[in-house]
Amino acid sequence: MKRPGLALLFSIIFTAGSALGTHAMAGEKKNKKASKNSTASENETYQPPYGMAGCGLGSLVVTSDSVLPQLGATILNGFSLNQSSALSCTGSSNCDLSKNDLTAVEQKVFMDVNLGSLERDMVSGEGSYLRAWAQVLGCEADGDYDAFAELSQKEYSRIFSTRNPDQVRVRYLDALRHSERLSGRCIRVFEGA
Amino acid sequence: MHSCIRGCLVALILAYDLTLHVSSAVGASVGPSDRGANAAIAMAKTLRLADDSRWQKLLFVREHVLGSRRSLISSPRFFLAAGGNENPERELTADLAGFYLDQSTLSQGDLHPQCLYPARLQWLREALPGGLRNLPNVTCPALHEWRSKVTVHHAAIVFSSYYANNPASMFGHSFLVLRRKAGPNYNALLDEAVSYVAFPDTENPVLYSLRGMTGRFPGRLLMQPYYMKVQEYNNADSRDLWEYDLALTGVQLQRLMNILWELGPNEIPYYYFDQNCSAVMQLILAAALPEYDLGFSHPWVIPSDTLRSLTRQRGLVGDVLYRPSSLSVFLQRYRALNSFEQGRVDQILADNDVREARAALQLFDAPARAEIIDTVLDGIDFKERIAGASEPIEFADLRRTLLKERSAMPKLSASPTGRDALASNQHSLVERPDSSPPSARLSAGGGYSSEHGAYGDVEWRPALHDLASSDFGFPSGLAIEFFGLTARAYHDQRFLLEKFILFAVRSVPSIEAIVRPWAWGLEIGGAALEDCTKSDFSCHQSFVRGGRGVSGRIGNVAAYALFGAQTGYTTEPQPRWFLGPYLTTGVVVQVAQTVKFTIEGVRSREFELTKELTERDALTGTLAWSISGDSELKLTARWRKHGAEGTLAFGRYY
Repeated sequence: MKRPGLALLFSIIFTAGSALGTHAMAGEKKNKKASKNSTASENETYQPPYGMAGCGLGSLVVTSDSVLPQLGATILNGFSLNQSSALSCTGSSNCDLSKNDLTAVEQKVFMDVNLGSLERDMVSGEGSYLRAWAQVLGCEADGDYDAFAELSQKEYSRIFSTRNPDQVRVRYLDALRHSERLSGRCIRVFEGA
Repeated sequence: MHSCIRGCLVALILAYDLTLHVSSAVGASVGPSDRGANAAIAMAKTLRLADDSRWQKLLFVREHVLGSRRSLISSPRFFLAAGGNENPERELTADLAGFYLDQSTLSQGDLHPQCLYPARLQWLREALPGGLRNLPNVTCPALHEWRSKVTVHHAAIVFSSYYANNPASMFGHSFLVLRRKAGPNYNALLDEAVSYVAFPDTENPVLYSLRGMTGRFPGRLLMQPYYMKVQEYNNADSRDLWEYDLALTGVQLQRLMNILWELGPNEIPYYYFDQNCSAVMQLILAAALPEYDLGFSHPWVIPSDTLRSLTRQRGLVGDVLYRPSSLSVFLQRYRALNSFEQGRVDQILADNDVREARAALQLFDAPARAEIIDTVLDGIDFKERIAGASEPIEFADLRRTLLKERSAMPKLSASPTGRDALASNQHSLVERPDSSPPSARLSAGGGYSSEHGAYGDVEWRPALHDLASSDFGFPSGLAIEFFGLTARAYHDQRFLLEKFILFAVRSVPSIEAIVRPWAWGLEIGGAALEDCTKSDFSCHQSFVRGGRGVSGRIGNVAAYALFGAQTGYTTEPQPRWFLGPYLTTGVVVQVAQTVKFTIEGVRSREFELTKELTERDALTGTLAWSISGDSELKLTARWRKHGAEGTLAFGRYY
């Protein structure tokens, strides 16, 4: 072990510091307590399928449950840096996703991660999350984005009658399929996705 | 998904087999039978390529504190030679032999060294005159597929700002973003982020800080869509992000991607001080860009130092983009409202009542109503830490109602203070984190004490910032000090350790609208005692002090008051453990852009059980002048029960 004495001392510092610094925002403690008992609009508590990881000891709090799905999301996106994953997941039967499946996973991940921000952009009919979502759905051809933004704002209440990300995604795709202007225009919206 | 991961682990084991396979091949039969490999190895030895800093950077060889040189990568998969992490020459020989292996002898073609180590292959081709002759043709489907999927145009390094509410993340964070080519539909959120992440095996705060500082957690590179990092930092933590675009040539970019591919599957032990996110990112860039001097300026690594190492290279950093946190978005929009509108925002948030909110909004026309709704929603999203698919709790009904209300309004022109409008490269230099001085400071000065006469002080502090110094590049109201030492010599040749700060943090944030954070402080260290009666001045006190309180700011004047407690060991009036209250109050005045005045009063009492040992009150005033980005002059006056002293010191950051 490298520098154990210093480490012990600093573990005390960080523990004390966390006690003073964490939850320093007024009202935050109450919210966190409440969140344990909260339910989503359809009586479901939804946990995003990725962990929050980063740098610094504070960001080390990644539960083992969240790590694998986090890696899994990147593997399934086909963008894993893990050579081993790429080796085994490319071409092998259990990992060989069809293009449609891969697109669906990408769209699910996007919705899981950006639900709150996308919602904000939808109601104002503009924003970088809405543009990114349009791109993920392939609604990029000339003039399609404006129609997409208009539809998003107009259909907000129906699409967001739930806050379950997957149900929101399904309702969104449904709205696009039934749109007179956009039906068949969004090249990454597949049947059954 | 899980079956896929199981498959990945199997592949990882296969990869270890390859290491053994190549190692034995190198040792036994490859050399004599392969003229190409032999010639390359001989030439590399003649040219002493193993000693070349570019080779050692590719292996991530680094000098350690005790003088040994070894790679920071601990995974044996990263090396073909046994002991390759400590012996770059042995690894060079093994790699060259490995590159000449017949691919048909391997169970999986993707495990061929040319597929596993494309960055080393690229460099050796450049470094050996005539390149690598008679190299066998190898196909690498996985590498090829990865390259085709990750279409990168250039790269950026991202700094996530200091995080006052978590001492462990206070120094900031850095990671890479791989940018796609800008075009009409380009959206940075869909870029890929590459960060160095530690995976802990415990949630116990003491255990995980212990293990985090001693390399017990494996760290790995993780590639995620950039929007995940934006949600994590901007929204969940409410931290500003700064994106520094790097102007890379095609060759440099290819090198960077090859290095990421090589490093990808390997574990890198995490050490909080010197092998952290910032160190790994800097080492990756140093290996990809050997044309630049991207060496470390200190044995410890702090994200802002990494930024400076990049920005001081001519032509390397291009645009600097700012991506505001949820708090910054709310405050910017709130400040743009007139006072009546601000009052309604305050009222709607305070009442948290749907009917009252609807009534308040009826007072405004559509554009103003939209701005107020958006500001209230920004405030809710900040307070509720809305990130990902997290649920609002306290404001759930109000948020839902306002969102519906907003969606029913006609589309308005984009707000000049909205999230996307704020994200720009037009921010003032003062706020950019790389405009802060380097992390370490050495200062020297002299002064006069009413009790002991003239003295000279020398102070050394490896990191980072105190309230009295200029706020260039730092959030105002946040001080983080680590390992500060002040030594003093009196005119009669008495020497003493005047002060030692092992760790100190002080957060005295502003109060604005609904943002009412606590002020707080924590200090661990020791100090010489002014009421020393011993002739050799050997009177010291060690202490741990902490407190919470209130703070606020009006214009250029900030004030704070912290109420807390202290405990420690003192040698005066007699050697004893003590505890007692510790109260701090102060005022910070930004007199001019480079001049700051701070005055702080301290009231403290020390008790042994119920018996009062002593009281130590002090009043300290400091006038600091930031002469340039890297140097400052400080005039300090201190009054205590036993006398007064004044010090003038010149400090240099490096």
